[in-house]
Amino acid sequence: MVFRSSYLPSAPASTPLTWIGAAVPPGKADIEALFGGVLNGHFALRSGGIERRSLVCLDTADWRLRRAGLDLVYVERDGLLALSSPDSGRIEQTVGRLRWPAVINGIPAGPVRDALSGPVWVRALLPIAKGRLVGLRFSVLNEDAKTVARLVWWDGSLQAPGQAALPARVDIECLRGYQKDAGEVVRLLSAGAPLGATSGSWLDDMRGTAGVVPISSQRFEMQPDQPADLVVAEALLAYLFDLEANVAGVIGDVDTEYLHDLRIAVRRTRSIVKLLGDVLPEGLAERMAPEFRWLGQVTTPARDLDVYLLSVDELAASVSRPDELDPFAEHIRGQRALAYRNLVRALRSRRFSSLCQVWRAELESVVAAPAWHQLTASQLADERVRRIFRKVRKRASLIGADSPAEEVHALRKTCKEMRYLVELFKPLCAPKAYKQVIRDFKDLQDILGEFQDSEVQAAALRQFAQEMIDGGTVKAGTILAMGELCGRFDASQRNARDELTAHHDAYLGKQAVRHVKRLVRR
Amino acid sequence: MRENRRTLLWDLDPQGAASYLFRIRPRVKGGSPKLVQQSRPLLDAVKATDFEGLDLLPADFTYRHMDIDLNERPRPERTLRRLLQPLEDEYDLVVLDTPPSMSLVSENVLNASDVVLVPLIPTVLSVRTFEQLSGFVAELDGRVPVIRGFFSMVDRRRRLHREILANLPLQHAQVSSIAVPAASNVEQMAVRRAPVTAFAPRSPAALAYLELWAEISDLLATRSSAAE
Repeated sequence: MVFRSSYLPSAPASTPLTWIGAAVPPGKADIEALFGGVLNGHFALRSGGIERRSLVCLDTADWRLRRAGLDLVYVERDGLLALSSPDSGRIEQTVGRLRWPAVINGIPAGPVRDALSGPVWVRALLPIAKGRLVGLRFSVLNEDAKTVARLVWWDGSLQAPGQAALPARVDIECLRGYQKDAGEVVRLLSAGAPLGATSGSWLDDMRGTAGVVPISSQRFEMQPDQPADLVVAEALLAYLFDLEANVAGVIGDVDTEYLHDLRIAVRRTRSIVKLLGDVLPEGLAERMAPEFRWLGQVTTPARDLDVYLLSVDELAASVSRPDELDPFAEHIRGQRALAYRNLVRALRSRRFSSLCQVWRAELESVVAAPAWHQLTASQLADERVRRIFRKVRKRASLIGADSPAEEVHALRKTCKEMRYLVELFKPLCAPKAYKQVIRDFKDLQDILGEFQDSEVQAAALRQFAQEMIDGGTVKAGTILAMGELCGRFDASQRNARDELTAHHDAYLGKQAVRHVKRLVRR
Repeated sequence: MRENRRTLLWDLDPQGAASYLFRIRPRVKGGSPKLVQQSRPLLDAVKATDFEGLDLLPADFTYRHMDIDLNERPRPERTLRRLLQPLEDEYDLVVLDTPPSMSLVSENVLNASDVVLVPLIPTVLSVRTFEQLSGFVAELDGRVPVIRGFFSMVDRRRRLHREILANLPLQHAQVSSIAVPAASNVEQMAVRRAPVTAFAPRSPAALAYLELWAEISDLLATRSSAAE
């Protein structure tokens, strides 16, 4: 890894090799002797300086950068952000001292921020791991004593979480115009020293040694012939893990996705408790359902306001006088602060901690001694997916151009429940059929979502307008701009309804039935 | 380099002194004809020096015929400018090191440059050459570079050197008062094959070069802000 800002972006990259020998050479003289011996007769070696770097490996909680093949490192001493990818090389930006976590707007404008804004989206960048590197630099010289490549021996250590040595590495930095020489150096070192090619970066080593993992769902395995209560309890434990993993981020208001992900975990839990709760010990589902309903309710106001704030610029751009919406945005920010205060109080309450404790204990006792043997996991999946699909089709068939909005909402809810059910049983599904069913339902849910969101947003706008009028400070221009938005939401809801009835067959017709029938492997 | 400017030095002198100093072989595959005809991209011939951020396009003996190669191109006096354009994203600064002559290559350099640095040995003949060059630049069409003379190989024990040093900057605003001494450290560059600022950074010659760079840097900044 090269941290020098003067390196040309298009210059040939460095080639890393990892030490695979039994014992790492203990000192600089030993390393110099090793390199000198291997290169002797081909190149001369000149010892250079020592570099020390403290690195912070950054990513979002769900590792968006890693998934996009990007490595982001903050070099503390230099206040430097370096972003690298195997395809597009490395870009760097001096950002000064920054405190993490930070959202994208908290990073000064520059090339790294520009490159990050897409992959990172609204998520905050967090320190995933911290490490320290000590690099011993050497120049490789040709017969004219001209540097044709540079070697850097890196000794690294993980500083957090935990402390451990990282595998030693050697970077062979190619210089422009001397690629052949650098290739020869790589060949000689690989053949003459216990150094092996490495595909991963330093950050891979740091993440691997630290044993850190991203927040994500579906970390449970499932076999077709397992007891039904065992697989349901294990899935619910995974959702509980997701839920709890997001609590600190919500309380710290790190970014808005923590609350979103927490709510998804709650929704999945509620759906599965409702659809499969009968396989759990008697009375457990009935006892826990109201608790999760409460949790869903306490998180709703804050999330609704987050959605408004995230789209406020887009909304402003859609009205004739965007500035008129500024007081509205201010009102939303104030409401959001209040809503988050209430939410944090709920997440710190005894009721919430008791909910998590009791739920975990109950689920773990099911996992320890599964007792429901009437159906296997595969039989349960097949039976329940077909059952809810029948319900979805029945509800959808009743919806026409004049159906009340409540019926459309009920259909959306059932569709969501079906999707969560299918996603839970993913390990038991035929991959192709699974993709088709998810795709069918995603399209349908998008339309239903647009219908409901438009209605909810229009209703909320009316409520906000009333609150602002009651507050006595709002101007007519702001109310008019909000009225413009209301009109757009109403139109969008009408469009969604037209699309829903027009495409009904595409989502729930014979083809969709075929996909569902083939879904669960037997 | 001190300011992290990505810099390319093109050693246009077929004698290849700059290439020699940076320990880079004065050889370019295809030579001047291929570069001038653009059948070989300039960047392919570039070599990294031992100094990070500084690359060199080496000299080649075929450069002695570069005038002829340039003359075969459309609008020959603007050919180098066209050749350098693709490097704009790659480098912040390009330094063209030319042999001391008035030729089509020199005319190309004048057309391609923002600032032309002219080393002046404080003698009557070199003052005369500087005046000829200034007159020639003043008659150029379109974009005209800033000419800046500076004194080199100065020996203050000589009266003529002292007189020219004192008077010429007063007579010509284009001449800087910066003077690089005729010091053994400067001659040592060829022996050590390294810039004086690398091996004797506190020597009077090195300090004079740094002072000169500060002046050029200001000139470039002024030129750049005027262009905006």
